[in-house]
Amino acid sequence: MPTPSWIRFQVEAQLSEIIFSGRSYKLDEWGFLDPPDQWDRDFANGMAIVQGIRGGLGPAHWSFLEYLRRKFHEENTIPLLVVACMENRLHLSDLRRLFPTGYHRGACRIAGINYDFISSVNLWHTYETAPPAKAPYDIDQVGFLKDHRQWDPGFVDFIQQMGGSSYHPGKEGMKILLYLRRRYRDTGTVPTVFETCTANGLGLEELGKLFPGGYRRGACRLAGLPFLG
Amino acid sequence: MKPEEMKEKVVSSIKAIEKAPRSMQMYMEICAKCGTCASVCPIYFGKPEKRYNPAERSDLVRRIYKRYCTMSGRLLGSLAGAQDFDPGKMQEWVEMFYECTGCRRCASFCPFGIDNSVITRKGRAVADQLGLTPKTMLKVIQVSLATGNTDNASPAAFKAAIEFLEEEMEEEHGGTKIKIPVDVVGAEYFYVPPSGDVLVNPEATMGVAKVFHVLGMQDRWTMSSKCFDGANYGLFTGDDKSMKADNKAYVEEARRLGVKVMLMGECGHAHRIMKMMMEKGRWWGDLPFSIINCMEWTAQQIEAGRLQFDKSKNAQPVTYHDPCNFGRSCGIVDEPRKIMEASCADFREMYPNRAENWCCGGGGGLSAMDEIKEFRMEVSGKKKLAQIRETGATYVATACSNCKRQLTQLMEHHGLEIEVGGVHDMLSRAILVDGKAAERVSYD
Amino acid sequence: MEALKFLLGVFLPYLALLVFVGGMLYRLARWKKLASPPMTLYPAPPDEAGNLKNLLKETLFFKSLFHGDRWLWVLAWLFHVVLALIFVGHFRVFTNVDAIFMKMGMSEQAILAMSGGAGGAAGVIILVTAIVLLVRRLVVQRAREITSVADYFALALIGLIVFTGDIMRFSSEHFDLSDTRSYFAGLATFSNVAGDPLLDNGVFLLHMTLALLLFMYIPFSKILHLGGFFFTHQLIRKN
Repeated sequence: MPTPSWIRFQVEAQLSEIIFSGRSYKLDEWGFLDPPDQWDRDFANGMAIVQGIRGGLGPAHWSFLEYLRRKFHEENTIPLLVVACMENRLHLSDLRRLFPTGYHRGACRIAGINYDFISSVNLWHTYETAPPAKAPYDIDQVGFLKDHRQWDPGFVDFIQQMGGSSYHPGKEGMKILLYLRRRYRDTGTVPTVFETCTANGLGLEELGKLFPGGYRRGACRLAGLPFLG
Repeated sequence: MKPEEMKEKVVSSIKAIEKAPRSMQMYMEICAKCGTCASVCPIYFGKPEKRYNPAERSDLVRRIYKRYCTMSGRLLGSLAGAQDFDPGKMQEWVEMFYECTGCRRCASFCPFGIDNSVITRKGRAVADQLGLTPKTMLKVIQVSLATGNTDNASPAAFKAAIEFLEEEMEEEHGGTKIKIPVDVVGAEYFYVPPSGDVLVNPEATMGVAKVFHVLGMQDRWTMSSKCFDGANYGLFTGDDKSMKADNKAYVEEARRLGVKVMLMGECGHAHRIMKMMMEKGRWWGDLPFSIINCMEWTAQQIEAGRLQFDKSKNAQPVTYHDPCNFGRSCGIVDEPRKIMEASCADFREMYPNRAENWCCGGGGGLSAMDEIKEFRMEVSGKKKLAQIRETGATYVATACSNCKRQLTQLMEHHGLEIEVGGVHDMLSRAILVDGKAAERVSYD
Repeated sequence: MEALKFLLGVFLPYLALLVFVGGMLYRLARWKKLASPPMTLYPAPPDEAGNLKNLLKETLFFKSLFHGDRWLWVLAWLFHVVLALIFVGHFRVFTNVDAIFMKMGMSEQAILAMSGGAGGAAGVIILVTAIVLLVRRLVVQRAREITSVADYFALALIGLIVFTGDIMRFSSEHFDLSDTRSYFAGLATFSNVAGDPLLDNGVFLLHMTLALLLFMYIPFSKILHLGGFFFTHQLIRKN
């Protein structure tokens, strides 16, 4: 299994909106949340994935994000990088570990502060890294993976995050997903639900339990198969 | 402002060309309109349209000059290339003059040596007198004059930041204390970086501190808690008064500290103003100190064999972008390369380079103007983008905050995972302090 | 008709000389007077000798243009070099420089062959380059969009002068230089040349009139680069 590499995928056009947990958020042309009052914790969790933070936001992340949001709301400012580190007793390297895409492009973006505001407060922004705000996977309008070759196990977490549910197919489900992918790769077609059940020795009901989202919209979508495959 | 009033101001400002400077007046009179400037201009390369043709932009000024200051223009009008000022086109005027990066590449190739950046600055000065300077630029100048730096930071914040950087270096170097002296009267060297190199991307300043530490000169240099930002946007808006006011504070601070050398940081226009304009033009008379750039100084130390590096710390392919103000305007081209070659394992050139280098597309202060981001990303930065791509480098080092801002956005806009940073940033990662390079967590 | 001949053949040459010399001196004096803050452009020669060398390279070989636009360089360099040659060659028209060549050991035939060969070639080359430069202005976008009437006028004027000159050189009618020499000698000694038979030659009169107009035009037009050129390079390259 290849390890998921969240930020390696390129998206041709900059996103103008992004969907996390079933909610759509508007972004500015730099890929920052705009207007900022759309922010909620789901956005932060979702954007954290896009910004390459694996394993979700922990207490250290949240404490820094809350600091930034407090500064933003109460003092209408963004502290300079060095000041922010100082006030949070973080070394530059700690911040780097927490937010791998940097201070302005990583932390401030996840904190839901728009680019124009950042720029108006801090003329010089961090240039340590410059990966754009990218969805790690190319998703079509109905929420299916555009190119099935992009799939990796991380895709399941990604869809789960976007759908806002705590559901995960588990080990058993992953087996089905791999079967589906193998079949699709070998034959270029999506097997019928009956074929899948037979091949995996499952009843229809058991399959339905594993994938409450349904066969096509649940299992096949999670397996990264295209919508009209 | 009434159109007549506006016209009067513009015309009188352009009539002043009759009084000076010499270059300006000659440029008004001898351009042969051959189009060579356009073929070497990064903007015209990005979008070959009349509006972006350097000669056309300069003609905005030239036409009015001919109309009012030359006999042929007064008598023959448009037959002699003269035209009266049209107040209705003032907005376009401002836009066009803020679409030139003042990179002076045209001057290098013009058969007559016409420097269009001089005319651009004049065009901007005219706009400035009418209060039409873009708001972003005005804001930078106001903040800079009020606080002494473009980051709106107080001396207290600066001192705290310096303490933080000292702790940071201690952490990087396993407990070795590396000092950054502040406000030390009687120090020899006075380091003047752009404020971003201290407060936002502090590696460059840490790099300089490490050099002084390794040389055992940690007590012979200083920074100033009032004057720690060489950036001076008066150069970009054509406003001489604010440019000199901003500059004066630094010269006075250097005098107060009694330093022998003003060590300019990695900021192209700051170094150019200080060295090529202030010192050469003798704005404040005789100076008790000399002016050099930190890259020149570090390169000297490397040449003398006083600094050692662990190149494996910078293993990725690295290229260097010559900021126009360092390359064409100050002739500092070999020094940064010496530093890069000493501290990076895989240094690659882009072509053409040095004094013939293409502008990043954010020169002349444009880099700070996010309102013209689309122009900077798709037009003025196009050539640079292609040049950087060609090298295959994953890190572009450059010695100018404006270039860095433009390049970072350029990479981001075009979806390239290429890091942008400074020269001393690379040095800071690889230099050996007590035989060991910095322990540093890098971004993945 | 007599009045026109007097105006163009006697009055205009003096006027043109006065306007050209006066105009150029006026320009130079004005430029010299103006303040010139430092504006070094690198690579800048370290000293005056280097600066002079750089200026020579620019003057003789159009160094900057060579690096900037190679095609234009070919055209412009040919055009200017030939123009300079033609200017020098015209001394044969004004006065008897043949004597000097003979002193140097050239035969009369050799002088005529040189004049006919080099001069003829120059007459063709300059006409061709002038036309190509004009076509370039019309075709190449970056030049076309900045070209104004004044630019076409200057090129057309030079083209016409060259054309009338070529008519005289290549026409079957023999053009006797002794006629022009006596005419210019008369002008130089302020003798009355109004009745000189040379002025009956319409092509010559047109050629000379246009040339004189060009000289008067120089100090007030972009052809001023003839003089400005030497200073603008110094301005930016001075260390």
